[in-house]
Amino acid sequence: MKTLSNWVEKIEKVASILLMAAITLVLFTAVVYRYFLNAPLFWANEASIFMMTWLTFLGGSLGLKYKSQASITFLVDRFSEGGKRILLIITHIVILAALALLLYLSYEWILNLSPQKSSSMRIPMWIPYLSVPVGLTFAFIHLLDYMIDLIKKTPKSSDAL
Amino acid sequence: MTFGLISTIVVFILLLIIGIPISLVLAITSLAYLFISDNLTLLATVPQKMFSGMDNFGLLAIPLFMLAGELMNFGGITSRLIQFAKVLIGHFKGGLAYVSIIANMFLASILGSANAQAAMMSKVMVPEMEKEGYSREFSSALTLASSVVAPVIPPSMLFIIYGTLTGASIGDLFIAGIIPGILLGVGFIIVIGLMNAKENFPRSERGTLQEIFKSFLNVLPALLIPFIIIYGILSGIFTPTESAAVACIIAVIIGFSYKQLKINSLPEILLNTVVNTATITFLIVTANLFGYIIAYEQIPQLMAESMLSISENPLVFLLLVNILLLLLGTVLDGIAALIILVPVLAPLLTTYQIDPVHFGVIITINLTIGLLTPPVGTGLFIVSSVAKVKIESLVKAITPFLITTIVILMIITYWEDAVLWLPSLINK
Amino acid sequence: GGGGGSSEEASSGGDGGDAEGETYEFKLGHIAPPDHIWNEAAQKFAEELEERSDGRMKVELYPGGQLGSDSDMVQQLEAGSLDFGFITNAFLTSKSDAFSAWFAPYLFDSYEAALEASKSEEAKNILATLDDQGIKALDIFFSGHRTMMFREKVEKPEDLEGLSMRVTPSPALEDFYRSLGVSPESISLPDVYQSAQTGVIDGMDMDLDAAITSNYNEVTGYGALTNHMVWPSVMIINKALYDGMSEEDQKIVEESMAAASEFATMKRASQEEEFIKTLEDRGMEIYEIDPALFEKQMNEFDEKYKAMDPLIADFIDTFRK
Ligand code: NA
Ligand code: NA
Repeated sequence: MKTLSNWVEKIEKVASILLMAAITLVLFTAVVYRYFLNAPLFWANEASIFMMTWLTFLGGSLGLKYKSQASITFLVDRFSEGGKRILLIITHIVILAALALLLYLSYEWILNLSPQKSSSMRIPMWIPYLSVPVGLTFAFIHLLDYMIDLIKKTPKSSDAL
Repeated sequence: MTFGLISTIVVFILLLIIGIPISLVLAITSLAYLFISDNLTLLATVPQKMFSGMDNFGLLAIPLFMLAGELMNFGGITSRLIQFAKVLIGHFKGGLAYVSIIANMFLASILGSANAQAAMMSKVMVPEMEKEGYSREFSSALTLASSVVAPVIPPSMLFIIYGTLTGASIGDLFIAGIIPGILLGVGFIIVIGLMNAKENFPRSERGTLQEIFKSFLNVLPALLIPFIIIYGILSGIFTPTESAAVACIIAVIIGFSYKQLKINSLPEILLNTVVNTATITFLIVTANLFGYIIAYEQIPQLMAESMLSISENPLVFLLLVNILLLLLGTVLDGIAALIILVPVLAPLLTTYQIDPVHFGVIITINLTIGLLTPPVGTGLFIVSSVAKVKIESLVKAITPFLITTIVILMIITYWEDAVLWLPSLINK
Repeated sequence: GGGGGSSEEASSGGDGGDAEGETYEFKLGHIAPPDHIWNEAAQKFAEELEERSDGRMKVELYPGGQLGSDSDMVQQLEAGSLDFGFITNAFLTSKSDAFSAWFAPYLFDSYEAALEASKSEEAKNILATLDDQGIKALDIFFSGHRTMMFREKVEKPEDLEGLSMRVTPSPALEDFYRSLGVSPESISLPDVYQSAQTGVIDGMDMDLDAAITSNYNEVTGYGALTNHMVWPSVMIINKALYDGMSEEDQKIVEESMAAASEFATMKRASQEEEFIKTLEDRGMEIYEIDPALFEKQMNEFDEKYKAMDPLIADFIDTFRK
């Protein structure tokens, strides 16, 4: 599980860096093409949005792995080490159950899509849509890995969600 | 209130206080509601609604301005800008706090979204203020509060969307936002002034003329960024969203020319940006799902209707609207709330004879306040994650600014001319 | 129940088996604001349904994109969480090419002609292409033929060459503009005002109604009443819901739609003069460009799209005069 999670993390990192750079370059190029070359890139907006959705779901999964997602911790902070561990196990069971449901729903959705093409580039919509199940799958892997660690040993105190 | 609604609220609060990330709380609560209310047909729509939360060109401003902020920091641009402002007014007590407000108002005339602005400024200003000796909580709160001016001072995404929904003149809305925007800035300056009297805010050394000149030469390339952005937007070279991408490219070039930005630090900068962005955009994704379910159940409409049956007096109506929006703003904010509420409230404007432009400014400030209020306030989350401050501490530190914003909201609600005078002047 | 999430067995009339046994609480969504002609069509449809069904069918309206974009609502219609939707033809071209037929430039010279065409066999065949996607497209109404709005006056097709214009993303519209030498821009709707104000775009493909509500007259001073394309709104029902209805109920739905379609289309037609006057009063210069000047572009469009799909060929052959 650990190896899988780390492997997924690497994919997410490389993809995120490339996507973020690509969005910036595509929009900049779009400006250059429209204003200076008088030949707008009609696909630039849509391509950037689709890359942003991928970036959101991959980066969101990374954010869960790095525990950088915003949460309210005043109660958690008051628990003892042991209490905190039990609370973390409980919250992770809740989260993993919800993620499992979301995963099921998003695979149902993506596998039963009716034909639809994007409005500008006319690419099949499963290409941007796929970001949802993939990002959720990766998030599930990271959190499951963390959960296994939790059960095996006590987490560091800084590991509150 | 039905049993289903009450149990959902209980689930929501429970998930929140046991420390589950707020983005996931919104998703889990939404799923829970569908089960509690036996609305299982809606489950199939959940993934699509999560996707469509991001399917919005305007949101691209978030990662791009975040990246621009990161690049400006790495490239030594920000520190030169702030250095320059500091040699000018830093020798006043609390000088850097004033610098922050002025810088925010300046940035507001470039950016159209409070979230984008909060993201950028917390990246830029908070470390700088901390270095000077301000507490991180205060610096973050000040930065977050001042980001409220972004959608009030033109350009403004919220005004554009409101204008489109109601047919109010977007040009008038833009102009109408100027005075309230300045009032907000002045309000914050007064708060700092009052706090200054009590607390011992740091001051910097007074700069000599030579230092001022040297710092000015040093900052000149950095000033190119706001100059190119403003010039580019005003002359139609690019849209405000595209301007963010242009800002990134210029920031890279200037960062290289200052010899502070290195090619091999770019991957790290990009990755940081993505993780910071995604904590926000992932929240927008689940907030969109949450908003959909609230809309599907027509909860805002029900609340609005029951409140509006209370009085026929326009002043009472506006007060009720403010209360309603401040309440709803605790769980909803920004564009989603606008899309849900405006269609409900706009038809009542004719009944109460309220000017749609005036109302647009009121609703915009209200929804922006929602960015600052817990439990769901995107602005809070952004600054908390970027500046690494606990939400609770941030909420505490922001309270004086929040109160100021609400006071100014009340002033412009009842002093119509503060909003409508400028547009009427221009339309003559 | 009738298969839709919100239809229920009759509770008042005893058993659900008798002819009038079904009661329905429908949900209808669309993207237009509450005071838009689309919502008037929705209200009319709701009234007609209630009246024709003796109160058995009620409709709750979700205007203004409360339930999401066209794309979101079509997904909800497929899944059954939404019963009815009014969806733009422009979006539907992304689900089925055949819908592009409606965008053949200058095919209809009036609202009446477009409405009549929507009742034809050719039009019904196009609607039927969605049948295997879980939704049933039943009818069409028309709101606001397309016009062109410019920052600087354009008097003939040649003037358009080299301009960049905001065009609703849909290949058929883009192709028409490209054939005129225009660079189509896909700027998102909320950005259009400012983009026209600052000159990111030189003009836009728009209807008069939207120009009035969004105050585009403030940023584009010239409105060419080209009426080069019709703007169909397609009335869609969840297919399982429709198939589960009794024949009489299906008929009630179809007749109510037809009534709403005619009402909205004709009302919109009657508003044309008033809208023109409003824009003129606000200082916009409204003028016409002779459609005959666009003949080359019409032929180009017809040739390309007739080859794409036999349904489009049938449609254009029938209505191109
Ligand atoms: Na602004
Ligand atoms: Na809030």
